[in-house]
Amino acid sequence: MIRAIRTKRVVGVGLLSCMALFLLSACGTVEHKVNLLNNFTPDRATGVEVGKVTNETGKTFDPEVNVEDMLRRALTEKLSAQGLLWNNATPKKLVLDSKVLDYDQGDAFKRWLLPGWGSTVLTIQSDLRQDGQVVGTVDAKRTVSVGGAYTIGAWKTVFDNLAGDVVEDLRSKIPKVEPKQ
Amino acid sequence: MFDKVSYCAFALLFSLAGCTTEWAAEGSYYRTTQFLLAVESTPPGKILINGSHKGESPLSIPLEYEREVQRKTRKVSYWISQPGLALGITLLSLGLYLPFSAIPVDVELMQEPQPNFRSNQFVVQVQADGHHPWEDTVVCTGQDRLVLNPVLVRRE
Repeated sequence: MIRAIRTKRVVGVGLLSCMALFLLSACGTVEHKVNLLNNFTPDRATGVEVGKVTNETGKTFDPEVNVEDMLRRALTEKLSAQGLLWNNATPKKLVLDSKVLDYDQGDAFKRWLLPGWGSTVLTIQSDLRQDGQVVGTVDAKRTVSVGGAYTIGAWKTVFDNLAGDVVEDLRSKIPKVEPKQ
Repeated sequence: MFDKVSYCAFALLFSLAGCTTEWAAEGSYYRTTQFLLAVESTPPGKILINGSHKGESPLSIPLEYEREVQRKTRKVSYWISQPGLALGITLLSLGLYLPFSAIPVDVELMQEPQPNFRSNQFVVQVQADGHHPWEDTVVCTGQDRLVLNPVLVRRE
């Protein structure tokens, strides 16, 4: 009797943990890396400009889903938030030309019905150029493959999250300028 | 009863374990590739690449061209794409996640370089006073570095 209660309790705790995990986290893959070529080291006070963004997916999307604009806007916002966005006061400029390699809007309802079905996927590849010369490359990917109602809108937020990953990597490579006292 | 349950769990796990899908081609794109061209001429002279002056030899200059990359994707379980996460969820759920963990929920991407190139031909010219100009066409097919050692012929 006591054993049966204990087993039920263990199973209950397991189920609750599982449910909590599924409710609290949107499961998916996050991969991102910046590769600087020929030991290139960006100068202090280098700004990044969002250059060309092209759709290389070979797919056409709904009129309200403009992948080029969504990625450009997300990168600009994240660069600005990190103080990395190029402006006339920044002496050095890196231009980030990006290609959207893969994008799937996905569907939160499908993900809720069956994990992996209706995944949201975004993959990009970018070239970092200084004075027209490629000095680095960026590869980034994000997926949202498991989840329910809390992943509604992932088709849009995946751009912000991926842009955040890219800018975080760039921030780690570009030395920060300390504000003058 | 317990035997039946464990058998069913095993059968489910076994059947789902094979659910990693085949690689499927998802199109291709052209990726910028860089290679280093080193020119060490005798005698030293002016170097032009595709008609544009780049400097005096000896000179090392990075050149860019594009290489086709084939994208392939497949669906995999978290045990393949994120084994740490899969193990973590399994432990936290006291094993209840295990039968479901083999479902191929994630998308894995592979990028395969192809033997197709774009803008990969460069006309290299070396000009030195009192010598005939030297010219050659360099075709890049994936190499990282190329060294040219032209010997210019003196004018009569």
